[in-house]
Amino acid sequence: MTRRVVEHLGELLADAGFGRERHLALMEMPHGVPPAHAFAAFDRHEDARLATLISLFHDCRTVSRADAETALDPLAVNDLIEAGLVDSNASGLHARVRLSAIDGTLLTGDTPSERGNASFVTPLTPSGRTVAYTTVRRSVGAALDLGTGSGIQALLAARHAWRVVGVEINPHALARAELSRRMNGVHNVTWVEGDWFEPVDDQRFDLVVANPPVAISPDNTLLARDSTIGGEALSRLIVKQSAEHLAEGGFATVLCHWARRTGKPDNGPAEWVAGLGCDALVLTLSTRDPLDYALAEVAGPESPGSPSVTETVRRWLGHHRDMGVERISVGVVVMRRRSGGPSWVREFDMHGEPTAPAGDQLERMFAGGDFLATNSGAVQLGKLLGTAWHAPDGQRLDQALVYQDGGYGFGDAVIRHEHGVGLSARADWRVVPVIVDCDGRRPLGAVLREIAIPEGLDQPEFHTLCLTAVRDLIARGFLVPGPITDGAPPAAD
Amino acid sequence: MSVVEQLGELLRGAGFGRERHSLLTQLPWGVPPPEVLAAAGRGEDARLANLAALFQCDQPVASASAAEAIRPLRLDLLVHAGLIEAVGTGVRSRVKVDSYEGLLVAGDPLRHIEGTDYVIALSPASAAVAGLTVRRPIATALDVGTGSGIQALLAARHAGRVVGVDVNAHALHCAGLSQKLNGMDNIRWVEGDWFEPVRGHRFDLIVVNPSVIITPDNEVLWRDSAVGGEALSHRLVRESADHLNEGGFATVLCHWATHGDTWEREPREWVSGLGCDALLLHLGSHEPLAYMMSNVVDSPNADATVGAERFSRWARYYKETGVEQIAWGVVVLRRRSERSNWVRSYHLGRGRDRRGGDQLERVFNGCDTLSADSGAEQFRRLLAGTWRLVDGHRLEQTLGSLGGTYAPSRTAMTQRPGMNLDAAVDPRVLPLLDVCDGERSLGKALSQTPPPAGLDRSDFHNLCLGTVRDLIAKGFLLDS
Repeated sequence: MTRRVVEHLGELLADAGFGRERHLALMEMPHGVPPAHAFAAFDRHEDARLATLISLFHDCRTVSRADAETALDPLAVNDLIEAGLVDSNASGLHARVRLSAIDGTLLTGDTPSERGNASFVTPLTPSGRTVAYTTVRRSVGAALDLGTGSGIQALLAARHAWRVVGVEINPHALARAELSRRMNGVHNVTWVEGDWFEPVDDQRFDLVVANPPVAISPDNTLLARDSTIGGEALSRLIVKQSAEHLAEGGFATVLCHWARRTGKPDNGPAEWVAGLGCDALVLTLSTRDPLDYALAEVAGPESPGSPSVTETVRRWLGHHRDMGVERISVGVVVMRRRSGGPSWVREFDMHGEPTAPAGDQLERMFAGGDFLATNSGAVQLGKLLGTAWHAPDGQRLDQALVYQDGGYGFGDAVIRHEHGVGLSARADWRVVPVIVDCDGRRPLGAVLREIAIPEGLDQPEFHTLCLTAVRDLIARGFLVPGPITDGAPPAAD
Repeated sequence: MSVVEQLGELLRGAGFGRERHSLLTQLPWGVPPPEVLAAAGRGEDARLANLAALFQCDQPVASASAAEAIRPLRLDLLVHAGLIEAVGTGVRSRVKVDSYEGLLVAGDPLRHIEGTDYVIALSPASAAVAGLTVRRPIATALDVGTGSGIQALLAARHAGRVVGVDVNAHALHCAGLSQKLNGMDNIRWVEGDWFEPVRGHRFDLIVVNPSVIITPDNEVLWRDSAVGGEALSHRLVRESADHLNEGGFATVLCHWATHGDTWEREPREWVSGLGCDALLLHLGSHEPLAYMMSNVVDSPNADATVGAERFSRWARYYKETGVEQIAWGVVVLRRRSERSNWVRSYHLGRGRDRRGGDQLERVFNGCDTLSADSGAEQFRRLLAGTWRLVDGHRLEQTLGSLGGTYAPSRTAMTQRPGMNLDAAVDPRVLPLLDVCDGERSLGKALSQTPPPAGLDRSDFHNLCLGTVRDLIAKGFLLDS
């Protein structure tokens, strides 16, 4: 009975547009999703139904029983009550689980009234989204979601993995993850209770995804936030163990926090990955001072402005001062196991959180990193010049020139994706013609020969400038090897 | 010096409205409590945080902290002046103070939003109106529907004398506070209905930021217009024209229901025969539900059934009147009686930082140039003229990649800060524009620029002249 209700509710929500394009369109209206009665007044009954479902399950507001019955039809409200999904009182119906969605996958967590419980589960957090969007999405055999929470990373991996294991130390979170699984009708995920890698110690995976609680704080009160071992030690440990549990060629994505301390050398993820047998991308999302960091990390889960937040923030600031913390960075480490030959690591600063799945871009960055690491000197130069490079689809190149005193002053061009990982590349304006001429039809050497040398530079200077820019674009996945033949679709890389 | 004036000096001295203040408001969740700032070793910001909590964020502050923050002023003086009141063990403000362009503006705290005479200190609409007002030195200015006094205060910086009119006596109280907070003395506040108190007077600048939201209601002064639909917008445009001195400018915020697929038909009708040149600047359009959502500020205290009742009443009104889209924008008039007048309409981009006074004047000059003559005569004059591009504008180019190739997807000139009026440019015209440096005539520049591949000379010249006209009309290309 319960099983059918949960799965039916999932289907009903999907059909109504919950977590899909229609939901996003309503969220983009002025002041957010309008109340259901506003849509009803304008005879927009489908939107009124979706607004009721959003109000009930996402915003966790009380909804009148009549509205709820209309929105949930043909599901019976009493069945939902029996299944523990909603509850009723004199003023109407309210949800007992909170729902969110990412890319069409429904996620369940706790309602805001449970906030403050040590085992509190948020259906979708900003860091959960970040990790999801920085995961490589190729078809694989076995995947592992470490610290699965609402089940988000496991359920997303289940779309492109044969089987998925979700590990979690918080049994309440596992119950939520199981509810999420059923709501999406997914069958290739198993949940295991345990402490990090302990339940899967002897196994290797083609994909490891971890969004662990790694805030650098003196606290140990919230399972979903506070690291049980001090400072960045947990980030470092999970990076190491993820690498050790990767099958050859497998990818891992791990969210990390790390601090810079007064008088101490920087010791961030680039150092941690040394000797792990993996190539790695370190993507820094933000670097903040302790005040900014504590306000963002504490006030989110604990509701801003409350006295307890003020007290917690003060305690964190005192701890950071005692530990000599100057700045704290948040980022993602993406690793790929490659045992033969020396490993490489590249660090990049993102501007803000990723806005769309960027697995393809990450794969291009690994391919670029491989190209730049495998050869050096004259051999690499030969390959660089002998390859026909081109831009993958969907990139934009922006250039803005400011007019002053009768002429345009030139500035850098910026290359990025409209949506995706918040990564961009800057290129000197004099290099732009070379970038634009890299169309996958001629090798770079030929492109360089045909371009006029800009005023004020001699040929070696210009070529050095171009090659530096091209190498940077390759490393960032903004230039990929061709060839492109006329009339044929662009070659997949 | 009055208590209010002293408070204004104190707030400005503490950094209210300056960079330090905006850095604090940009922290996650807004200005943090002073004890948090102290723990972060930023005790020097604690005073500013207390002042922001009190005067900006509508939060109670412990009496001791408040007393410390407002020193050398005293709490009892502020209570006596009606600026703060006791609540529990602390105090809270009876006015909300916002800052805009270095000015302090006073309105009501959010907790008073239920009141029919509620005054907003600073709204997005007033920022748009302020950014689309011509700022040249003048003798007299008029602010109609002054509210917190924001447009009058801005005008008082470049006008000798300013009159601010409002029908809401409480608004005039707030506007008076605003004037004192900034230590200004050249504004006179007058109670009355629109232009009624200034009949027979003319001004060099008129700014009208009225309550013109199109609704069936007439209950809240700051929102609901007393005459139905766009009739008020039409009337205020006409009366602004009637009260302008020759050469004077007016900026009037308007809302109107649109019909068919054009937004400009109604305002074009309003401005005909007024003896003014007119720019119709479209800021946006919404279907009725989105329009309601963007204009109804729901009070935290309002219960859900009131909301439902209002939605169904407004929805019925829009259905009965057949409204499908509602547009809003700004009409800028300049009185010029001696010749036939021109009208131009532009859609403006979004953006918060709208400061378009200078560009507005360039647009008026450009439109004058283009309306002075036409046909072959204008053609000859354009070619004989020497034109130069305006300093500080940006040329923005975006290319998109597809099938391995980058292709231009947008090339446009922009001015920031400005009106957010951009000019799309065909990239093939750029070589010509590059030689528009104010030294050679357009005709000579054209003859020296070879046409691009695939375009013959006459097509190229037509393309160039079309672009040149557009850039003149948008204030990018100036007569030198």
